[in-house]
Amino acid sequence: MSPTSTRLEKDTRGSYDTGPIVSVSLQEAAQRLQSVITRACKGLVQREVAVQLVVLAAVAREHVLLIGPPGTAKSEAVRRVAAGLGGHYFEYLLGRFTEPAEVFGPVDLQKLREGVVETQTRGMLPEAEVAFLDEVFLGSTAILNTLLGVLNERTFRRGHTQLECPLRVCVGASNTLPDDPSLAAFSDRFLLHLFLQPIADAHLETLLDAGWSLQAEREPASAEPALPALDVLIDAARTVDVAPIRAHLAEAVRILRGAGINLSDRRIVKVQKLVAAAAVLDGRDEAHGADLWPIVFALGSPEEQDRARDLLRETLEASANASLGTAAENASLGPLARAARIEKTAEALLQLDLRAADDTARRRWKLRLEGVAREIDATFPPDAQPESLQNTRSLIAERIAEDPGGPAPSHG
Amino acid sequence: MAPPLRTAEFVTSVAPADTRVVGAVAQGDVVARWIRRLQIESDDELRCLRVARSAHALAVLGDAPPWVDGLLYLRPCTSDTSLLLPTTAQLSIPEPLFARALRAAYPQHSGPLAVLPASRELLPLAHALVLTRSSLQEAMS
Repeated sequence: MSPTSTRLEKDTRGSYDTGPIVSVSLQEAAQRLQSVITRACKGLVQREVAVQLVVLAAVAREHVLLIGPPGTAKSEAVRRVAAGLGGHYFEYLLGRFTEPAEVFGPVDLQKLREGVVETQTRGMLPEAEVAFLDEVFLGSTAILNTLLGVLNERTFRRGHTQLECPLRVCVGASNTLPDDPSLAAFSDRFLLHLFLQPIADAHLETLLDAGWSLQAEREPASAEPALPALDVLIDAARTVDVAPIRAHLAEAVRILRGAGINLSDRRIVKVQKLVAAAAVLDGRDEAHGADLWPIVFALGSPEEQDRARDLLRETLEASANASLGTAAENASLGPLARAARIEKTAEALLQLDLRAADDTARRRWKLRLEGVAREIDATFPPDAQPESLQNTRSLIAERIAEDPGGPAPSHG
Repeated sequence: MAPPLRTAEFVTSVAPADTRVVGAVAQGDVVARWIRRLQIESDDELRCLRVARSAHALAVLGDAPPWVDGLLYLRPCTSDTSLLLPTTAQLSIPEPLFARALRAAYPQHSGPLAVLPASRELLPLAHALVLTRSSLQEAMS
């Protein structure tokens, strides 16, 4: 598929024409992206938010900045999303001496002899649908200036070359935020900021287990690229009705300003794109209060984001999203988002077919199920459990009761 | 009953997302069900837990106590981590104030202590035993 030639028109049934082959509904496209997220998160411990924000940014046609120490799976998270989406993926580790040609392509020497300065962009950033630039702030002025055009206008201009870029999302990564004001302005072009920490102590066993399993078996790339579904959602996000949330968004900005946290006017306006993208990824064409949570990730420092989580706790309490549940929960710390995430975990466990499982596997399954029940009880008082969570809890209790036995005590 | 426990109101609410479970308490008929559940744990798993008992309650300390229906989960108080409060209860007064008042009212319980709001009871945990089959037997008696 040629991404730049894909134009999607909403038909009379509310579906989006993806070209001559299929017509994909908003819900189908959202589900397709959900499966991309699920596959990308498999075996990736505590990086669900990174994966989900990359997808959110792609739908909003914005970009993400991942800040965190080396070895925190920044590039792996983006690679997995790119593999699920399909299309061209460009990844590069920038350094102080990186030449623009390494990122955008070399000058066409044949044309140069004719006095024309053109760039051979084949396989380089200007032709990528998904891009990952590690140590992005180490790029030279020439690289960053050209990059600004690509990020803001999806246009690559260099010499006599000017072309429209098919870029859906660019992810920049860095160990720290830059102090240099000019670089700070550049970092502002990444609407979403996510600050990553090494895996918490409590999850180290899971990390080791997942890392070992992944080494043994790598997930094959998806046979069917999700780029057409992404384009359906991009188009749908442009027409989402965000009017119902404007008053809430304005109020949230006022609360933040009252606490000395300022979002630039440009970012405030752009947060609406994130809200619209969150709505379509939840399968809706109208935004409501549950979609405001991306505002937290539009703030530029971890301190501001933490403060916003507290300040906006009530505003964001209703946050939830079928595709981006972990990110919604992370932003809002909201009960509904947490309930949805717990239900999803429980559902996956309850659907496991254990007929052929041995005793060890059954025991591990039961312990995990008990872990979910424990999380529900430790989090939600009975009268504060959403109805669907109550049902899930009942199912878990039934399944645990069906198998009351456990490991044979190892006396000794 | 000391003043802090008599006057402080606990409001049930959803636990904050960063709540850390450090144990659980069973009261009433949940105790017997929980003991039956604990008995099917392996010796190694039991040894990761500690147990304390009062006349009406059984506490098991550990970050993943085996589940049965009806347990009350405990978290550390923000200002006094050896004072354990229910995960799904918030105090009507600032926690540090409550913790200081409680410690002052119960100088004999300077060690770990669980607060059980429903029964307005305190469960001392200073002498919690490593959970073994024999300590479980002891807890049952």
